[in-house]
Amino acid sequence: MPSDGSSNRLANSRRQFLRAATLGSAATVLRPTRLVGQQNLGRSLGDGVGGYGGRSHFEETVRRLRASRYPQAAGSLTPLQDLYGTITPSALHFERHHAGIPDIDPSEHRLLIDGLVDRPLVFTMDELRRLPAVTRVYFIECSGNGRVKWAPAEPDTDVQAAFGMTSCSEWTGVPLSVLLSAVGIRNKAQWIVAEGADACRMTRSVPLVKAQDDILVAYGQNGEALRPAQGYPLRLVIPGWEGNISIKWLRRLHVVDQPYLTREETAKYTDLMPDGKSRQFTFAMDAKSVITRPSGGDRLDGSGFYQVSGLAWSGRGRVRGVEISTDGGESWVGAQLQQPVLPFAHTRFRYDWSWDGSEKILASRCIDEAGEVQPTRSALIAVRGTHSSYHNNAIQGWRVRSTGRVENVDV
Amino acid sequence: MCRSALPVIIVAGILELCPIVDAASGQAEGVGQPATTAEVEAWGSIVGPDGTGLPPGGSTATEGRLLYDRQCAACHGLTGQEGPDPRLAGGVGSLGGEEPSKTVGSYWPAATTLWDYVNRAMPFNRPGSLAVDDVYAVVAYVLYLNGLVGENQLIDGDTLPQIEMPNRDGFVPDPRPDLANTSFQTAWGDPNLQGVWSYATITPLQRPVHLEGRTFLSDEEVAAQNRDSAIRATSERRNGLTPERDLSLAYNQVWWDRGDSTGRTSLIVDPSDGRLPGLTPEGRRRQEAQEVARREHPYDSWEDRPLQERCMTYQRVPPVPSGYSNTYQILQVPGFVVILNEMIHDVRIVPLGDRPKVSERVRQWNGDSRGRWEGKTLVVETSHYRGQTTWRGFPGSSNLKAVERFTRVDPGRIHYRYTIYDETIYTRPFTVELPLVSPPEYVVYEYACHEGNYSIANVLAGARVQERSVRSGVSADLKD
Repeated sequence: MPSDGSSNRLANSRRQFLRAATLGSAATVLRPTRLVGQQNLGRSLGDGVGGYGGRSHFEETVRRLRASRYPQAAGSLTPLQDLYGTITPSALHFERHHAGIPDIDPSEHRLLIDGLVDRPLVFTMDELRRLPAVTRVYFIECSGNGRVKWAPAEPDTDVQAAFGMTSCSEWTGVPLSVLLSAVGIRNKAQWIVAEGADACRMTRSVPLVKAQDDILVAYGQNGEALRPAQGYPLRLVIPGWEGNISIKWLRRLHVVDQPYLTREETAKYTDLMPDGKSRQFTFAMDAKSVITRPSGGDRLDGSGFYQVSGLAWSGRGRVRGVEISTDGGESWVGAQLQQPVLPFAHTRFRYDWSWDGSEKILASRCIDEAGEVQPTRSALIAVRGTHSSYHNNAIQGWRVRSTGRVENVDV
Repeated sequence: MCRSALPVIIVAGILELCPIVDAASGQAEGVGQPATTAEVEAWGSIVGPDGTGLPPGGSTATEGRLLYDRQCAACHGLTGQEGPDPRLAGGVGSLGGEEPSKTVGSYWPAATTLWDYVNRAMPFNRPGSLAVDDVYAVVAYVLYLNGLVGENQLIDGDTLPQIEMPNRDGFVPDPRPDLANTSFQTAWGDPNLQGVWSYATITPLQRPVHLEGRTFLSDEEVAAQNRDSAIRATSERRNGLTPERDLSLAYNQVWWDRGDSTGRTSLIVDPSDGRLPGLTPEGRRRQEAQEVARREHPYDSWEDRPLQERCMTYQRVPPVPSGYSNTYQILQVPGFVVILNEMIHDVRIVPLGDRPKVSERVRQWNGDSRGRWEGKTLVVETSHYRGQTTWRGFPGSSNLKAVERFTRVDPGRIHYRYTIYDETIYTRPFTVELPLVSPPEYVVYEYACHEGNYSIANVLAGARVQERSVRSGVSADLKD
């Protein structure tokens, strides 16, 4: 219909106009359009108050799906290039499901803790919320985050595609140690098999030592209940470790004497080395960082000042420092870290940069408090080969062409 | 002397080290319902590598063939090798080659994993739909496709865990960190020493007599020293003190920043006895003169007061650790290294390269420093000290020379040594090794030395009052 078509065109042109007028989308040319007196000279009342708030309809960034045969056994990627600060909005937290997202009524959900315990117990959600709770900011990163199979850099790969399987939330829940003291751990106990309530009943073996240290049984994410895609109503959050082990839709903790060699810690999430041996129980995520702004797909609007910004994190504690290179890794200089720097959390770094208009290669490297320095792709491959699918923490480069175009490149 | 900024970050750091809750407090008692056997069974089985959790039942590959063809082959292929979804068979011997094929037969370390996974997750679109015997049958068939069991071999809770999978020894523990760290460089190519560094340690300068002949402490001794030091720094030990005595101690653990043991018995690493070398006759003469002056003319002039009391400098460059403010901030720009010491905020600007020294006639409390790179090591030579610069109660001379060596060995650590040459005072040079580490979020604090602003005049005025009192025969013991 003509009226529908014209109103759509109107809405689209207004949207385009305003996007160009603000510094909103990093993927567009960052050129402000001069507006005299701004819009809305004749002012009208805006919307009234509402129930569950949504974002401005001018904001369009979304997760992007990873190619997969089945949407239920797939992943979606966080648009890191469009985020500020360190917390990932719950609606943009990356996803990795192996059998879809279950639809769980929290009033019917139970957590069983059994096995090598003195008092096997079943908890309702209400009972779990009666227990002492803590709130912590932790990242969760899929150990497969990074370019598939160590492939050389494709110029058009952006940060969302290359790094989008990491997200950071404020989690609230019961320390697992509290639950373990409630059931009483027996002497022979060494591991806990955690089981999810998704269709595939995802299981992983968790070392008891970590369980008694800092693991959360979480029901809260960024101030509200977990999102269904993040394990509603209950999940493990295991700080610093590969995301797969933070079992979502948690229904059972089975205390045992040895790792149970579940499919996810044998066939998957093990790292095949050049000698044919595989590393197993490679839990911690290595020191990692990436520049998110500017990043692949952006186009800089001429020489001049650009603040470079990105995220750094480590599964071994706090980020100690981030260094920036503008010459493809030939030289490095320190970046500013947004305080507070929290352990096992995304850390925002910033670096003031004046672009002279010539071709540059931007890169960042993370140094964590364990002393680990983020390596180059070639250094990683020299030790680990290219047959492992996980734990690729290689330095990411962005080539800034003299045209302003930003491309993915290896350093 | 005191630092005026509360070390909030240190306090926060201590809190962060505490366990996330008091796990042993039993707070969860009475919450949660005891699980009945029926409930535990209803949750389903979890199968371990020794067969724990395998239910009664069993089957054979022959029985599994039709089931596999109908329920599994569409995704995994009729022989388990066609795909498109994960290959289940073949690939043995391929793992160390160019194109490794990770299948149940070539890769999975335990046959029990297959039962557990099929039972909980397969078929993909109807997980949990297979009866127990059907799971045994499909498992038997997949193992048969890999040549690991016979066609009619019974697979059950006893036989399954005993199947020796080809890759059962193919897994190793996590060896990370497994990469050599990249060295640090500044933007202009110099080794990067920048950061805030602590040289705090409780290890004494000189080896205590009772540790004679020993260079290192045992791990147990180090732990004991660190524990004792931590206890000494806490306020708990002050519980028994009167308020007056407590106040007179002035500092509590908010201020102390003494560090831990280095593991050595002394900071002096050369001479090998860990002790300062002997004094020359001139050295002894100067030390005696210094002691006499301190005893007989302690308050004649501000010049008789110690340098740190006058907020001139704490204890000369390079330092020896004390109770607090054992902190360097190192900054670099092309051609210069700047070393800020938190104590009294002494700053050394160290030119690099061949820049000539100041004139012999220019003498400074902390000398004149020049630096150079020897590979990745920053070497700083300092001379042109004033002869009056004392050091931990020992005299110095204008012939003093210090050579410091800084080498960054990892992101959080600099190897730091210095050698003191002063042939006027000592019979030989000596070398000190200090820790230099950068704990997370370590910062420099403001340092406010108030004695230099206000107290010296009062100290001297008090001494004059005391002298007049003595002359007039009135007792005025200032010490109270």
